[in-house]
Amino acid sequence: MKDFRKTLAWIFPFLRPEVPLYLVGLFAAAVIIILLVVVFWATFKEGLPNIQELFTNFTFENYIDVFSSPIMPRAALNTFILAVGTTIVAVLFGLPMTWLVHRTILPFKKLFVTLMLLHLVLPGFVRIMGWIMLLSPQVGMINELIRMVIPLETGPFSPYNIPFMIFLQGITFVPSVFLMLGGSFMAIDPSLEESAEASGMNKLQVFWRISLPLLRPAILAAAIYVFVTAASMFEIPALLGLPTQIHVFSTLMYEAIQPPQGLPVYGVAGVYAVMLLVPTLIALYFYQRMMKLSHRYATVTGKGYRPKLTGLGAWKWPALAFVVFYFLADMVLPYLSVLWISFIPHIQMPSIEAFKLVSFDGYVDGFLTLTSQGAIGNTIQLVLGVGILSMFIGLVMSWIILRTKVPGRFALDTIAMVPQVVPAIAFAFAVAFIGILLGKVVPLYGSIAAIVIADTVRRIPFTTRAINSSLIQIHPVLEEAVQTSGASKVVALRKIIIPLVAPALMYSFIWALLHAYREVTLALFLISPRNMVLSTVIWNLWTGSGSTDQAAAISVIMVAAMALFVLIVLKAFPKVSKSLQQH
Amino acid sequence: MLEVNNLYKTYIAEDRKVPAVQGVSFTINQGDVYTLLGPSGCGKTTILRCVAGLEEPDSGEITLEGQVLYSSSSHIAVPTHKRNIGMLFQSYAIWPHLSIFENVAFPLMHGHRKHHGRHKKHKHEIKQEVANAMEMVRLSGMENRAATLLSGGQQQRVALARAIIHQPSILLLDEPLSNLDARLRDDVRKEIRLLVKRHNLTVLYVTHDQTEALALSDRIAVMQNGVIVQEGKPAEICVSPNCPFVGEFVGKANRLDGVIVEEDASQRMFTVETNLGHFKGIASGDLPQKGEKAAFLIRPNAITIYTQKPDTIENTIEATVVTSIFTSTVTEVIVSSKQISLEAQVPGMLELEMGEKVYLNFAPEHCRVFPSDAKEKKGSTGQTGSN
Repeated sequence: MKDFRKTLAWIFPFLRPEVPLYLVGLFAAAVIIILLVVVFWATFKEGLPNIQELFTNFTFENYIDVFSSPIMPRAALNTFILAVGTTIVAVLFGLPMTWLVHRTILPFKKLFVTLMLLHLVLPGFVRIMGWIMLLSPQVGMINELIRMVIPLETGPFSPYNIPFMIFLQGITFVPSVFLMLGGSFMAIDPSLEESAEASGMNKLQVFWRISLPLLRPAILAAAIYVFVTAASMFEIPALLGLPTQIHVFSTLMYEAIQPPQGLPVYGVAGVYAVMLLVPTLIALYFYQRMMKLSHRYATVTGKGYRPKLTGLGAWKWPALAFVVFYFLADMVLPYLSVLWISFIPHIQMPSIEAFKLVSFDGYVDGFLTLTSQGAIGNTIQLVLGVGILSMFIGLVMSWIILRTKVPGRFALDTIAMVPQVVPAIAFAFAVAFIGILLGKVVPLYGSIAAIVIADTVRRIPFTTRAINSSLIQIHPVLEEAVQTSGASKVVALRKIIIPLVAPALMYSFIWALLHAYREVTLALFLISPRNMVLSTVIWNLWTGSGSTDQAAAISVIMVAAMALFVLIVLKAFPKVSKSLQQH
Repeated sequence: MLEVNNLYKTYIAEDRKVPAVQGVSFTINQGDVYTLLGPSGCGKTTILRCVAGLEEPDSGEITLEGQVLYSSSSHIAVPTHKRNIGMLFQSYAIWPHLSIFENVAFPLMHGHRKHHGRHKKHKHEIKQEVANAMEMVRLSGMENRAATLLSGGQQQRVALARAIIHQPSILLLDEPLSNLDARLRDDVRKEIRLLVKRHNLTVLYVTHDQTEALALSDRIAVMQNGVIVQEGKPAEICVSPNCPFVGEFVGKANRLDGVIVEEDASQRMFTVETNLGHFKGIASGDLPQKGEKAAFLIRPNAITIYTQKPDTIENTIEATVVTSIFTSTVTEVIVSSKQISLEAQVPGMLELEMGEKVYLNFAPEHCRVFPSDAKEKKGSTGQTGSN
């Protein structure tokens, strides 16, 4: 009998205790692949998704519609210009910023790095609202200020044009560029530069002929990343482009799914998603080649030294002015505008009359709006759901990839990275499509769960990699010792691995949670009256009813709540704050 | 009792098949310390890991006290945690986030043998057993310290307590001493020997260090390229190697190559013609034929050094002193004759000048003659790199 059971266990390894974990990994991978397939599938279906016709009635109508549409060529060109422009601005700001912080003697460095990290977790669309408050042709505060000197009807500035969209989107990417280039800047062996100096080159020549060529693969990789991500960015084109009929693919996609009137046309949205996806995959191919090259460059140099810091001399003040200008444009001005507007009923400059209007009405009304739409509860469900799920799936993925010998684990590694390159809005679209498809069977459509799924999928690459880098440092022998002590792999995971990678788990959880909190695009693509969250409430108030004070007030509440949460976390988990600083 | 029968294991590394274990069989009797000795890449660690279940063999059979752990023919592969084993790792594998107590008690608290009969063990039972185990490794009273604050030797003793606390049928030791410094290594080695003998433990020991193997084992299997080339008691291996590889690997040896010119098969005594002259020695392995190529091995301590020309001419040559190193108990002398350098070891202190002319005598009964490369050719498919 005993032998029989053993034979059975050998034939059916399903009976092993770690099998449920394999199933979790398999399920997560299946979800990613299904979502990806659905994007393509949807382009061949007309009308609303219908489960009876899932495998019949394929059509090319959607492609014909899109390619014969008069706005398509213009939108394609806009998308391309915006992506290229964003990339150029991001590198023009990001490269000098990285160099100043990592390689020169610049005052307030720590503050700048902290602000850069802060940028990554603050809700980005609030910054756009702030800029509209400053630059709107009619009521923009900067325009008002200028009109006090120069008598004009409106203007002179307007945010509703492609150059400003490029500028704003470009500086939005600076912290990402900073993080991506930082490691490479630190990894340059100072002796490579010193030997060039010893060969008689001046500082400028050294930078131009030695440092920059060494950094070229890293810079190109960062540029490709920005380009790919910028091509499918939604928030800036939606808030600054749509009011003046400047379309890009992402906004056309949104209007196809959430049309102002009429029925949604999912197939058309799918075509736009595919048009974003295909170039992305091509760019990704080059991105991976770049990363390989930059890796080669990095290994040439090794580690264990501190890069030499350059004194700026008289250039210190222009350099500081540059950095300060960036932070004014990226954070200080827009967020201060939002703070100011949250206290007054209409957008206007601070003045003696305006101060008389200061009230907390926006906060009171805003709070009522939030509660009447159930947004607070939804937001908590969303962030906890995304945080826990992405952390857990990241752990399982990482464990399977690094610590088991399951066939197919290398495929899992690749699949886990897919959401990194597929535009997030394509996944959101696929979730919406499936939601309608499942219709009455599973109440996914319009639920908070839909946003949780789309957002979690988006975070899996990050959490998997973060946990990978921690798990890889834990010697496998610590697990083998568990097994030879008579406990299973699952016990090893629970008792040894999880406690040892706990800081990385906590870090992944918080990172995913904060991103779900600030995210508006995915929530908008899946919006319904039942799944309103803080960010979508603000968006609707801003774009719809024009309650600027409410929108601003909720934004302030949102940022304040986040700041409080981050502070508590940093105090409670010093190890997490350490890894936050490292990333 | 552990029986390993006809074990095979091949790794796939970078699209290349690397045969790590090629048909190994051996039996370890209850209470014996059995050592797999060999250079790195000979497959010894792979065998140990197959016994532990951390690697799955390609084919063969492993049986522990009558229970089949692995059998390719009847499709049995018991997972590691269900095998009644204890294992000691080269890098200690002490869990850094657990206290010493938690480390040692782990097999009782989380192992599948945590159920004593039908009852889960009580806290006080576990406490008592941990205390006993700690006493066995002479670490009593240190239970509540953080494990990472211990020295390497202490960490390995904690690991030893953890490996034996659940009374495994066999203790697997994977080069447990190689991370310790030389003096500690001697201490821990003696301790392991005392402990396993006192408690009558069955041990499978893997090492590349012949000193450890000779000091610890009841039986030694010398491995090369995935096969066992010789198995026997430490003294047998040392005195009667069956091939030049074993002779050179276990204990130092000077090797001269030549041709058999005279044989006395009844006495197993052969004369070999080498570059340095004709020498007599004993064949402890296969008997070589007259005219066949042969290897002549001389142990350093079988060389007598004379400063004056000795009376015997047999097995005697002239040489010059290259250098001599005095260690606490012996003098190691490097001499050279016709550009061939030889190592000699003489007891006590011997003062020799560099470049001094000396005479060497090799005692025939301590010299070994082998047919050249008889066993070496068999498995010479290159290094397996499995350690």
